[in-house]
Amino acid sequence: MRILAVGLFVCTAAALFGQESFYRVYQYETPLHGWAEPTLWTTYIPRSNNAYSHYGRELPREGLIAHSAEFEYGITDHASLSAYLDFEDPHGRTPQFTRGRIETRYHIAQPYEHFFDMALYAEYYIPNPAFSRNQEVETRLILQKDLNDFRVVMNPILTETTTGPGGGSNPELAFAGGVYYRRRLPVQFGIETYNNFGLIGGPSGFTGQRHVIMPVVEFRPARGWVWQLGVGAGLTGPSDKVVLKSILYYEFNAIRPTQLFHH
Amino acid sequence: MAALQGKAVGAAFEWELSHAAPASARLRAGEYEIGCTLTAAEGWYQPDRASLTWHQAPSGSAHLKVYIRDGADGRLVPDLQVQATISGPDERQLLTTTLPFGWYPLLNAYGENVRLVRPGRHRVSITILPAPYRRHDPYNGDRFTDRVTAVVEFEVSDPAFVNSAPASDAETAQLELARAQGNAYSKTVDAMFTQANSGARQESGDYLVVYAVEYAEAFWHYHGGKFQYTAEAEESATTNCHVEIAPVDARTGRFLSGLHVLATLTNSDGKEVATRDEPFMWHPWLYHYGENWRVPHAGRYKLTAHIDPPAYRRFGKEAGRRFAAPAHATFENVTIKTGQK
Repeated sequence: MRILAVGLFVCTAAALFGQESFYRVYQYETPLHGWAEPTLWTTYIPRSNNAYSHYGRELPREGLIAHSAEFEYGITDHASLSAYLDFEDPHGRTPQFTRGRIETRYHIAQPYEHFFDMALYAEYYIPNPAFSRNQEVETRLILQKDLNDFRVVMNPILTETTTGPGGGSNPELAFAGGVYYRRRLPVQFGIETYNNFGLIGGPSGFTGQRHVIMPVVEFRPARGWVWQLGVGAGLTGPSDKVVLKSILYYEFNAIRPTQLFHH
Repeated sequence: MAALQGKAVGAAFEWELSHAAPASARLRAGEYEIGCTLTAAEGWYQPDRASLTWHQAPSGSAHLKVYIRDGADGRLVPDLQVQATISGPDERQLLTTTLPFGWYPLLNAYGENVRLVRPGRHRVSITILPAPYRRHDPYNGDRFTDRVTAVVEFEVSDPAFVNSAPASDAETAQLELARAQGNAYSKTVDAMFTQANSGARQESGDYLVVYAVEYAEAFWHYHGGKFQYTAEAEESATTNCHVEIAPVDARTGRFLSGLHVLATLTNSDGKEVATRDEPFMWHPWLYHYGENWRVPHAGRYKLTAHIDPPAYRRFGKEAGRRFAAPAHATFENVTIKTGQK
């Protein structure tokens, strides 16, 4: 009985603390003022022992494909604003809109002025009410350090449910980090880690948390295009066993306001 | 900083136009402010191996000079291709010529000796071709990208300027106006030193050689007929520092454009890291010759700059006998920090 109770609690806690569909370690730089970056995110979970709630139904995460369309715009030299539309495509079903997100990033000072290059990140999740009634806010501190050809990036993360049935619960603590080798432009390698420690004050130990380690490779096949691919391995039970990610984006300055009127 | 330099250039510009009046004109065209003067023919020093050869002003000619300033900040715009077509009082085309860049004692310009036929109203059509050099500044670097044509007219009473001395003679006396330009540039260099990882000045004959080293930087470069912003310099560690060289006239402090600059970095073991050409880079407030480099690691290096004598003409019998020899400066213990900005 006790084992069943603990098992039920672990499953509930896993369902409560945000299910990762998208994996990215955010870096210090933001798009230049007036520059734009449309991005297509895709995550595929080929192996998982976990379930999740999809439009009120409990579905296996194995076979899930998640997509997100993002548009980021540099509103100043230091700050950017993004909007996301997320879709999920559980195995055997058609993609369905799950939520929208708005996000802002602000990088502090100039590169290399301080020991860490620091930026602030805040994101608000607005779900499709049929998918979930929990709105959330996620905040990150972005810490970046260049060591010759290597770049180390850390994102401690706090997520809090603001409205809905999950509102009022403790914030959730997570961490995303990466080390990247940036010697060459066309292809760069790195290794990332995504760690969700659960609700602050919650009882989950390491085995109750989600930890994924993910080697990544980033291609720059043509000017302006960046494509990052990663294969993640889950290290704990609540983690998806295998995760594949693709982040494809294009950087352009075609919509600088001054250029609209440039003759 | 740029406006300060533009103001000093402006004072010299006003002097030139008023000194040449009424055979002077000014107008704005495209992104430029253009000044045009017709004065007595000019002799010049032509570089000839390691020396300078004086060429006498051709008789019966006038000297056409076009000054081109940045319409935004007033600085001279260097290294342009400028063509002029002159039509005489009967509107017949007298000549079409390229106006080469020249060094003048007070204010550098694009100039050539031209033969005018008779007194009267002359029309000069000036065409400025886009400048293909690299530019810093992601927001304002894609400037001077259009072909610009401007037409000026002015009265010429004496087409051979028989009773006039070359303008360069009077320009030579305007040392204060020339030095004001140099002082403004020097203040800008000081500002650059506060944000660079290292920098210093060193005299070498007629030159004062300035260097500054920063993190690798992105820039606009001309490719396939248009300018593209190369953010690649920020996105990888392929290059990890930016070496800037700024040669100036040691007498007045004015920046010297149109030069061939070579830089060599040597590590603390005395081993050469590389020798590279440093092309001219337009900068929103400090013109310089610069290039992104890759060094093996952060640390102290020796930087050697070699600058060939300018290939362009120097006008002014008294003041123009300069820059016959190359410049050579060595800076020890140059601090290089690696990164991309």
